[in-house]
This record gives sequence, structure tokens and C-alpha cells, in this order.
Amino acid sequence: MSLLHIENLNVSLKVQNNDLLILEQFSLRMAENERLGLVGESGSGKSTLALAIMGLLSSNMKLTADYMNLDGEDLMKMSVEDRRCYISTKASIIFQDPLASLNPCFKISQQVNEILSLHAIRGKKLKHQTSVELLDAVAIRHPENVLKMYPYQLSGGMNQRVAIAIAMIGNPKLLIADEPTTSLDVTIQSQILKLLFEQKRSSQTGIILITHDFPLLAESTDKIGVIYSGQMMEHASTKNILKHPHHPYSRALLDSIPRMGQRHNKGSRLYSLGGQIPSLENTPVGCRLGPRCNKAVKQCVKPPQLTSIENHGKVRCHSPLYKNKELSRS
Amino acid sequence: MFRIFIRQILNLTSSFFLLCFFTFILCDYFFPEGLSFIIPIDSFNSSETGFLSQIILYFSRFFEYLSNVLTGRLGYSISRGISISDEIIHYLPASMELAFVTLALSLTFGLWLGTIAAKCKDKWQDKLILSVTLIGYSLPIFWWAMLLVLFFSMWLGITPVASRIGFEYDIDVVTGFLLFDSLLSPRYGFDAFISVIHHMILPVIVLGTIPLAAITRVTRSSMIKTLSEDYINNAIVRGIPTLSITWKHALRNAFEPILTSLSLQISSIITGAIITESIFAWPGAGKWLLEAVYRRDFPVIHGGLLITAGIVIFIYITLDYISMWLNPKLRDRSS
Amino acid sequence: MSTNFYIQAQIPSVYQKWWLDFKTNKLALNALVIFITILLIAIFANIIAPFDPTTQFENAAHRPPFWYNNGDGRFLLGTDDLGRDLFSRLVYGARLSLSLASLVVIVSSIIGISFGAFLAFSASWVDTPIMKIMSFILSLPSLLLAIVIVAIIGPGLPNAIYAVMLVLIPHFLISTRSAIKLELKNEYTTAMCLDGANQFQLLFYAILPNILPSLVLQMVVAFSTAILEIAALGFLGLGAQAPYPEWGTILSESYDYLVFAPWSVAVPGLAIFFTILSINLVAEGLRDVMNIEKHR
Repeated sequence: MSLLHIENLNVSLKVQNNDLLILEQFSLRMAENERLGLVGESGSGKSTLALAIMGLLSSNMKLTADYMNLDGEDLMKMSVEDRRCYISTKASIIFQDPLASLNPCFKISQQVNEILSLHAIRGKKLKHQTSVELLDAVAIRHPENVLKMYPYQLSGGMNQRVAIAIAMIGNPKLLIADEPTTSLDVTIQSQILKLLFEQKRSSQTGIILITHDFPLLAESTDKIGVIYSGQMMEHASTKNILKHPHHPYSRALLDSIPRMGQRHNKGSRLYSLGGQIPSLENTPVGCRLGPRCNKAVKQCVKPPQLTSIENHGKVRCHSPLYKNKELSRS
Repeated sequence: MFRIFIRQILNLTSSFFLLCFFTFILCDYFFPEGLSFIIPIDSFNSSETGFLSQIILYFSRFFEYLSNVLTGRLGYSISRGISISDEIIHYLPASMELAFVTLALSLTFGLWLGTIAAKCKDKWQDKLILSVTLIGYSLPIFWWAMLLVLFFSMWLGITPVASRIGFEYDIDVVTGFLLFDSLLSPRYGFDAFISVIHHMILPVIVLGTIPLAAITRVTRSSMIKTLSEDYINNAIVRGIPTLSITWKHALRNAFEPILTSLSLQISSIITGAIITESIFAWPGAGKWLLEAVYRRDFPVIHGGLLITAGIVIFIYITLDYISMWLNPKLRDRSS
Repeated sequence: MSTNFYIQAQIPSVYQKWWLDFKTNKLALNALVIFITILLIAIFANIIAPFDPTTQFENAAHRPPFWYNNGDGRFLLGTDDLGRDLFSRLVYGARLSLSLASLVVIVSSIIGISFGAFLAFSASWVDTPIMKIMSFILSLPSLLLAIVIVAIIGPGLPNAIYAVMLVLIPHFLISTRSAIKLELKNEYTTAMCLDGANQFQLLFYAILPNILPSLVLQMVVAFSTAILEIAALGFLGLGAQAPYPEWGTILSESYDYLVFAPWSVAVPGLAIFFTILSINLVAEGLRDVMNIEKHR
């Protein structure tokens, strides 16, 4: 049974008199215990997807979907309160800004204790013990001291760890991490990522890691989804995407990563995909990558559908790369 | 928090000291003969003209002034001959009673309505609250008072026109607050209390309209901003009940601008009190001060202004303390 | 770089964008129209008012407005206790209120903004004590201060104007100083200094355009406050004295006849109310358009 099954999700934003489509015909299927990485440029709609799954969209956004199943239950059929209750027991989310996930007015202990009460852990002593264990599990060195502090007194890395600890209370089945390391130092990034995936291993949690940084996903994820301008462009296992990216956009993303030791000609430019992500008011007719794609053909004025490719995954393109050709990447 | 408490007390005393100093300087410059009610004018005359001795003289006069002020010897009213401090003790409780009731009600309703408006943003409740508060904010207090008196007291006859309590009641002054005194008085029982409340309805509505409007708006905007923060989303997702999110998590963070607005509203209540008291013949400090201004009764003006400024300083420092208690981030700020 | 497939939409300038956004706010736009109407009435008072505001008509005291049974057709909104036409008084009162309020706002904003700018740029020791004094003055109720100033210098219209001016200056001073200090923290000002700008150039070319929205908003709000305070002082008898047709003064005269002639109380008050309401609505619209935080 799949943990998360989204079919045809559309999220639109109402601006003055227009409805801007932020996510269009988005479909995703995620198995239990799977590690999924979602990658895309800023403005591609990845964070909106996270908010849509968790039911946190603001009131001026409209969500429609054929279905949105979380661990077997269809979220579209529930009322708002029921949905909130259900999601809070099954899924958690960690945001980009660690300071923003904790309430600045309360001590860490107060915040952790509040969530523990919600998960039926009562008694001051038991709560304290559990909090210490939780903080210990996220590699915080002096948990008793940290519990007494306010979020603004801790560093970004510490706050993010606390956020992860709180997110893991109650053993959620799905953990969404929306750019958890973007605002942290590079040295802390790998520590936090390791922590995240360790959590997953010990408690059988499915993880969606959202980022704009491709190399981060290479080691830790099972599958990768590439999002561009609100649509899923490619969804395949990590090995497959890294070896043979079928979609021109995924190819471009991988090519723009500067690699050490690769022979660049002296004085040559690093590769980058020309153009800009289209604005929501002026989306291109047909394939959204059309104007920027160097493999565009006449057919590209018709919007491509997400099609499965054998031994690979799903691609949304009229002319994917490697059409039955075994080409190894240089 | 104790450290902060001490710091605030120091703030309070130094501000009050500065206030007295400035008042002294201004009065000495503009109205030197006016100060004779506090310092006998030739008590510190000296034939020495050296600069240092002039300064010492000046400061001695100031300390004489300060000691008189602090012990309550503020002189006598020119027109009525009663000691100023006696008059203050007589009139101030009436104003304070009005102010407290107004402040409590406008704060309560303001927070409540503002939160409703924030949660129902852009829906009909929000639009209604916004329009009503905008109207309330733009009403000239004196006109609003007149309209209410015309409508409710004259045409409908359901509220009294003036004074704090019906003429037939003669309440002994215990605390100065008629709300309590009427309950404590053994002779009249509950009727006196009802009469006090009855007399308070219109003045409180008039005085409280602008603060209510302002507090509602500021609560609304502050809560909208706070409710869109990530940690609120987090709280929702973690399953914390909505009521707890609104009143516990969001309000504590949203409170700072509300508190700032509150201190401004207190000033506006003091201003409004002067007008309200004169229209409703409410025997309070505002009416007393206004009459002194008409009569150019300088000692009264001086005493009234000093007390008002002192109260304002006290309220500001208290509100500052409360905001530091509510938002721990502000505690480490250097004074 | 790459070829441009799509024609960029026409991007309006900042001020044009403000006006376009403002136009979409129907309420604010209507309020602006109402305010401009009142302004025109004030400017063309001589033409619009049928009578002189101080002319007393015998045997015509306390006439109700023309739609009442015993109303006189000549006096559109009735007369007051001395037989003066209320409509003409209100029209001239509009001229008085609006012109005085503009004077007050212009003078106090010039003084307040220049001093605020001076303080923001100077690093001298006078900054701290002046700020402390100004914040203290700001914390005191403005009407109270105005009353005390009038008490010291005596009642009357000119003195009331001085009082309101004095009371408004600290507002401009403090907000200008804070706004400039905030802008100075931004790096573009450092960049301009490194480019060789002196303080005046920095002020006029870099900082002023950025603080202009909040300054303009403050002036609009100060305008409505000034109208209200002049009217309040007039009502209390400390401002415009009889027979000036100042709205507040008219109200205080009419209060004695509240039950007897309610229109003489309702109508002047409505005039003040609508003027202030329209200014506040315009200020709200401006605030939304210029994206300024709602503080007060």
C-alpha cells in the first residue's frame, strides 16, 4: 500500500481577477519507507506541494485533486478538522527557517511538553525524561540545558535539530523536509541530513526531501522527482536519473553542477540553462520548458503528459533523451 | 525578571525626576511668580552674584520645589483656595474609575473583535469589523457624545444625562471609586450600584469608542501577521487545538504592537476624558483641569499637568515591563 | 542571452503603479472624491454660500432645515440661535478648517522633518536628550498638551494654531529620524557615500525617495488630526472664538439647544465626521498601496 498517492493535484492562487496555477496536474506515488527527493528551481512550486500535502495552504489558494491519499485515507473526502487531526498523527514537516518552526515566546521544554501531551505522554517526570531522550536522539549534547532555553538563544543548527526531534514525536509515517539545510552552514548541512535519514531508518518513516540542490540527493534518496514550473517533469529512481536523465531539464540540472577533476577548458564558461522560469501569468503554451529547451521540436506546443518509460520511471516530455539508446554519461 | 523589575523602578524614578526638573525649569522661565505657591519667592535671595553660587541657588530652589511636590504640597488653587493635593485626591478617583472601566472594556472587546477579524480575513465579519472601526476611529468625540445623549437620554430616556450617580443617593467616600463605595454603603443596597453603572454607560461608550477601534485594528493586523508565521503552521500540523493556537501561541507573539498601541490609547483616553467629563458633568480631574484653564488658575494647571505626566510615565513603564515579560527576546535589550 | 519569446508586459513606474492600485480600491477612491468635493467647497466658499456667515437674520432664529414643515426655503440647513444661516457657516467653516489644518501640517512637517533629518545625520550629543524629550512629549496626550499651551499663552484662534503646530512637530521629528536612521543602515547608502555623495545628496537622492511614502502618509494622518484638534479646541472654547464659523465652535454654541434644535448639532458634526472619515479612508488606501505597516 502506498504511503502517499496524489493524482492530478492542482493548486491555484487567486490574484485580483486571475487564477494562477501554481501546481498543475501533479501526480505522485510514494511507497512506505521510501526516501523521495524533490528538486527544482526557486519558484517551481515545491514548497507549495509540501504545504498542500500537509493542509497548510493559505485561504487564497484553491486545491483540487482527483485523489490525495495519505496512508490509505483520502484527504479530499475529509472535513477540515478531521483532515488536520489525521495529518497531525501521520505526517510531520520541517521548514527551511529553523527559527520559524519554534515559537519564540516559549522555552524549548514547554514546546516539547505540549506536543508530548498531545501524544498522551503525561506526568512531569515522564515528559522530562522523554524530552531528554528525544533531544539526545538528534545529537544535542546537553539536552537538559537546551530544554531550559528559548529558541533565539540557540544556533540555527540546534534549532533545526529540535525541530526534527519534535517532528519525530509520535513516529509519523511521513516526514517532509522543506529545504531543511538551505539556511545552515555547509558543515552542519551534512550532519542534519545524516540525522534525518537516520531517523528514518530507526522508525520506518517515509521522507520527502525538498531542495534545489541536486548533489544533496545523490547519496540519500531512493527516488528523485524533478519539478519545473509547477509540474513534475521526471520521476525515477535516483540511480536512473543520475546515470541517464531522460528529461532535458534534469539533464541541464545535472550538467550545471561543477565537478571537481572534470576537465574544463581553461577560460570556458560553466554550463547553465539559458532563460528564466516563466512567470505564472505568462506560462508558455504547451511544454513549460519549451522556450528554454534546446531539444524542442514542433510537437512541444502541445502539453506533454507524464508517461512511464520502461526500466526508468515517468517522464513528461515529447522527445526524451535516450530513446532506447544506452548512452553512458561522460 | 527581578533584575528587569529593578531596572524599571530605576527608570521610573529617574523619569519622574527629570519630569520635575523640566517642569521646574519651564515654570521658572515662563511663570516665576507662579511658583511662589510652592517656594516662597524671597527665601533664596542672595546678594552673591558669582556663577557657582547662582547655580547652587538654582538647585536649592529646585530641591525645595521637589521636596514640596513629592510630599504633596502643591500649593493652593487661586480661585477656590483649596489645597491642590486635596482637590486631586477628590477628583482623580472619578477619572480613574472611568478610565479603568473604559480601558478594561475596550481592551477586552478589542482583542476579541480583532482576533475574529484576523481569523475571518476578507470574509464578511472582517469587512464589517473594519468598517465599523474605521467609522469609530473617525468620530469626533464631542459630537458622538452629543448624539448619544440626544438619542438615548433625551429621546429614549433610558440613560441619565449627567453625574456619576443619582441625586438621591448620598454615598460615603471610602475608596473614591463609586463602584466599590456604592456596594460598601449599608444604606442603599444594590440600587446605588445599579445607579452607578447606569450613569457610567454613556460616558464609557463615548470614551471607549476610539480606543476600541484602534485596539481592534492593531490586533487584527498583528494577528494576521503572526498567524501567517511558520511556527503557527507548525503548531497546526503538530495537532495543537485551534483555540490554544489562537489565544496562547499567536497572541503572545502578536502582543507587542498591541501594547504599543495601548499606550497611545491611554493618552487618547486621558484626552477624551477631558471632553467626556465636561459633557457629562462627570466630576473628574479632566473637568477640573479644564475649568482651571478657563480661569487661568495656574497652580491647578501645574498640579494637574504634573500628576497627569506622572501617571503617563508610570503607565508606560508598566507596559514596557509587561511587554518584556511576554516576549523574552526583549529582555536582553540594553536600556 | 537567449532570444525573448514573449513581449514583456508594460511595467509602470512606482508612482503610476500606486495610482493604478489606488484606483482599484473603490472605497478609497470614493473617499478621495468626497474630500476633493469638500476642498472645492472650501475654496469656492464665497460662490457657494448663499449668505455671509455672520449675518444675523431677525425673526429667523432656530429655523429647521428646509425639509421640515416650518423650515424656511432660504436657509438650506436651518439657522442657529442668532439667526445665522447654518449652511453658509458650515461652508465658510470648511474653508477655515481646511486652510488652517493645511497651514499647521505644512509648517509642522517642514520643521519636524528638517530637524529629524538633521538629528539623524548628526552624530552629536544633542541627539539623545532631544530624543528623550520628544518621546516624552509624544507620550503625553496631544490635546492635553494643546490645552496647556493655550492655557499658558491664552485662548484664541492664532494661539490654538500655534498649539496644534507645536504638538504635531515631535511626531514628524521622531518618525523622520527613525526612518532615516533605518535607511542609513542599508548598504545602498554606504555605497552612495563611497561613490562620493555628500550628506545632502545622500538625503535628497537616496533616502528621501525611500521614506517619502511614510512621510506622505504621516502628513495625511496629521491633517485629519489637525482638523480634529482645531475643532476640539474650538468646542472647548479655547480655539476659535465666536463669531468665527469654525465647526467646533459652532458645535459648542449649538450644544445648549441640543433638544430644541437637534439639527444644529447633527449637521456641523456630520461635516467634521465626513471630512475626517474621507481623509482616513484615503490614508487607508494609501497605506495599502504603499505597503506600509499598520502601526497606529
